[in-house]
Amino acid sequence: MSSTVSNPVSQFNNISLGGRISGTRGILKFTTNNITWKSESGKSETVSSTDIKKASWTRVTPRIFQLILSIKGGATIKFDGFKEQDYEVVRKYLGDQYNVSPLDVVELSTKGCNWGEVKVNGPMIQFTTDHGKVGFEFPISEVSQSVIGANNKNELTLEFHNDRAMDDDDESMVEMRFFTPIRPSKEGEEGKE
Amino acid sequence: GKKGTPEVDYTAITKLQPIYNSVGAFPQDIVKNKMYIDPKKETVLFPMFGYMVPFHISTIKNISKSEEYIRVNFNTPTSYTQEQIDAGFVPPQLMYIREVTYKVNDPKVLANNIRLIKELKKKFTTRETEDREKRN
Repeated sequence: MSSTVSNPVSQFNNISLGGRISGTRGILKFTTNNITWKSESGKSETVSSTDIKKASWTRVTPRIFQLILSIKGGATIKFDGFKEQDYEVVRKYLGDQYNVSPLDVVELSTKGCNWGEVKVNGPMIQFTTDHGKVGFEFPISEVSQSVIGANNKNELTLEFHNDRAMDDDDESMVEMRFFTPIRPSKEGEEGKE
Repeated sequence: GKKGTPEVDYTAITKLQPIYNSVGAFPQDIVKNKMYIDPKKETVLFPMFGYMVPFHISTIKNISKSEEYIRVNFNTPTSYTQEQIDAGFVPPQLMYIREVTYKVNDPKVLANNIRLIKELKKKFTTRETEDREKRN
């Protein structure tokens, strides 16, 4: 078991910060007033329980689940590495100790297409493909540079920070290019967006 | 808003159901942060910000290598027709992913990923051609 519920501290091992290109693993602890995460490499995060606005739960691979915390003020913090059976433990802890409920289950899109709608949701850029389901999302802070094509104004290139906390064998996305096909301009509507 | 946004459906592939019913139906041996080639579903799953995002092989135009980088080009239409816009198939925020670039440190993994994706692409194209000939 990766968790204990016998005392007011609940601990999960092998948790990484989610929603990033990479992630070093660490220990996540739920205590009376805080959620704290500390990685093997010394990185840490603390979330005060009273700052949690909303919590949700997403399956990111068949075996790995993610806890998403929406923080007052607009930030989002994600923790990866939970198991399916951890849902009840986390749900109960958030509800009983922090008064945060429900723990919504959010499904990702599995459509398989390369087109979708790009939406800005707070600090997140979301790519949604299947009836509004998110295919992937990333915080705008992950973008190191964005360039609109010099010869092609319909093209947007995003370059991403190279995370030094990456595992050596992680395959990291360094660049992504979006394209919006040209729309025919109706006569008399020149220059109208 | 979600309501009133039409399902984007104007190329052959959109008529396909979602490739997997849910993330739970992804291949069980998938690993976060590593590409996965699924020949059964004719799909490549790419790691994107901690998520595994499936792309049907028909959306992939080509794949190439440059030093320790893998570049994937996707198929995109050049322009919309007025008919597509009039029919409401093109929501205003619709974007295509045209290209993604990955850094892969292990040259063996890099070469293997490229080989598997190219093989899948070739197999799919051959099957498509055969299907078309059968119909004619």
